[in-house]
Amino acid sequence: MERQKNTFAIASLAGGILILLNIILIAMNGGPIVLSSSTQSIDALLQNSSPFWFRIAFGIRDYSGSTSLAVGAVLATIIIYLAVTLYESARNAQLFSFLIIVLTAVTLLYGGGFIIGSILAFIGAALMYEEPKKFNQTLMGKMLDSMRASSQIFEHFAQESPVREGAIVILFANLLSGIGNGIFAFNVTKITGAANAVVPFQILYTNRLGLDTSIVQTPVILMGLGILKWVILSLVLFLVAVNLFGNKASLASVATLTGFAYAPVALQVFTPFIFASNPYQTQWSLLVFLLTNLWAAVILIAGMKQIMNVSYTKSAATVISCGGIYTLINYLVLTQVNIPNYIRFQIQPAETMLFLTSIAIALPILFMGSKKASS
Amino acid sequence: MKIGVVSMRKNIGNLTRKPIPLLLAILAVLLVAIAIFEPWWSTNTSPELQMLSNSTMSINAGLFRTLNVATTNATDGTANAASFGITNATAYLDPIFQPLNADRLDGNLTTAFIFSVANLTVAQQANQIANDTNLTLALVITGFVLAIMMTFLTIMVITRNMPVERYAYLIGVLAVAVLLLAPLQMYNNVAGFSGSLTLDIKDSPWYGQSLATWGPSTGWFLTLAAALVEIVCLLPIRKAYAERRRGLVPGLKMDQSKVVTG
Repeated sequence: MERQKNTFAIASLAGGILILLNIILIAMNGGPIVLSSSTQSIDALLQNSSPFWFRIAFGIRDYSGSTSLAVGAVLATIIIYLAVTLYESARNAQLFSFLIIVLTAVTLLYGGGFIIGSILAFIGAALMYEEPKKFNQTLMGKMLDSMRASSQIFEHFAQESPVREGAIVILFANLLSGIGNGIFAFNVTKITGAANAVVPFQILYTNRLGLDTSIVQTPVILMGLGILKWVILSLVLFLVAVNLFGNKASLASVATLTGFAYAPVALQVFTPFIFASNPYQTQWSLLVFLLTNLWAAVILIAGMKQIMNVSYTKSAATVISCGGIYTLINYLVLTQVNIPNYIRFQIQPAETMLFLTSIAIALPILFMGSKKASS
Repeated sequence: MKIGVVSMRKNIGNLTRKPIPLLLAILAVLLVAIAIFEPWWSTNTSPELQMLSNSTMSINAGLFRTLNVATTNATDGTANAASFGITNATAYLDPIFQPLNADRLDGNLTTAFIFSVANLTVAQQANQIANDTNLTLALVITGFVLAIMMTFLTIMVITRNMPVERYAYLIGVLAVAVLLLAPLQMYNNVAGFSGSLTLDIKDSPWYGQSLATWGPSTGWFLTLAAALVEIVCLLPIRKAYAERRRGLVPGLKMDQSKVVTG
């Protein structure tokens, strides 16, 4: 247990050191660290048929002044201090872990220790928060186990069904996804709506990201919608799996699995670290959206297989069929909600979308048959 | 009845079992060592001006009273670098700035204008920094020596089991104070230590945008970071000292895993 605690504290410590290093490098560079794929002029990047170009940036320009960086260095040192204190003793573990989490979120403005630093500090602190629980009994441990589709964690969901934790994951994933999407979409709008090259240049080349209070609305609305989507998907999965395909599963275990399957969506918080040339801007966002959602689908397939005790084919068929129904409901109802600073992806025209969802719903049923047909 | 088995460990508990404070102390020493030779103040052309004029300029001032100037011009592919005494800034900077070209800038604004303003600012700052570097250098070197002494004493506690945590702690506190004082007094003593030059032509779309910025550089930040890291390693050392004062005799620690209850 002591060794486990030390590992968590060391993860936070390593994260804190990386965050401090990131801040020092920004100071040495005289501004955010911007790594681009090639050298292109701003005029070329703003054309509709501009060449493929992207850049990754660590640190926001408005937070790279000497006073801001000095504050950032103090915050990073506090993270290091708290991690060392947690390494020394588990006293006040909850308070110190909570502080590390909050400070890590703030230091994302300074590049978050090349992203890796903030991930390490956050995961270490989140695991430490639930000390002395074992890794796979903590919420963060369960999230990480779900993300690597561990069969043990799905077994745990089938037996104990911690629905409340599933709901927390939904809120957490949508909060982070909302922050990432909000910042990204707000700045893409600023680039595309700019009257001259000044604002696009500053965002693309110097990472002078615009941060507006309207960005706050995005995560709040997404969290509310996330709960609705979770309930809908869980119900659809349960009804199709149990009533249509005749498998055995409890609603609580399906709801828990669905909640934890959303965990990769939290990674969308890192979307604004990368911006691309004009036509590839939305494609980058689409790529993140597709990868995180496909990851969630893979978790669902692996988890449903374990919960229902069926083959991968049957589990995949169930998830695809339910995914079709869920997409349809999402398209008809939830897309009507106006979310500010949000890039929405829809298959157009509507006929194509309806055709594809119909195929996704019908094919598994045709191949596997319903409960009555199979029995 | 509890029977405590006293294990004769060679080294004392806290610092030995958990050597992270020592690693952080070594990190702090390394940071200060690098900071001594890195620039403490610099001025750089902003990305906006770099794009508009297709040229870059950077001026760095270190603690050894030298200015390093580097310019590049992508239009004609030239790059210049020069190093000279900090007090001769005005005489040296003029000819370096002249070749820079900013044809794409607004007609009313020439590169010569921008850089003559930057030149004046840099020369003024350079003179002030020149007056301050001796004190800063003395403080940094003192802090560096104290940080080394603290690290050395910590190593003595760990490897030789010497009861010197108290001295390590006191020297560490001094090191922190001196290392914090060095950058802060420079920031305070040099008027206009950090600032920026903005474009002042209202017709230009780039109006109000930064053209050049100056302020603390690598050495300044590294020293500040070293002081903060040093603070972090002081806390476990103080704890180890308090444990020794409470009578937890070094080398004699109760091994809980071997406690037998009968």
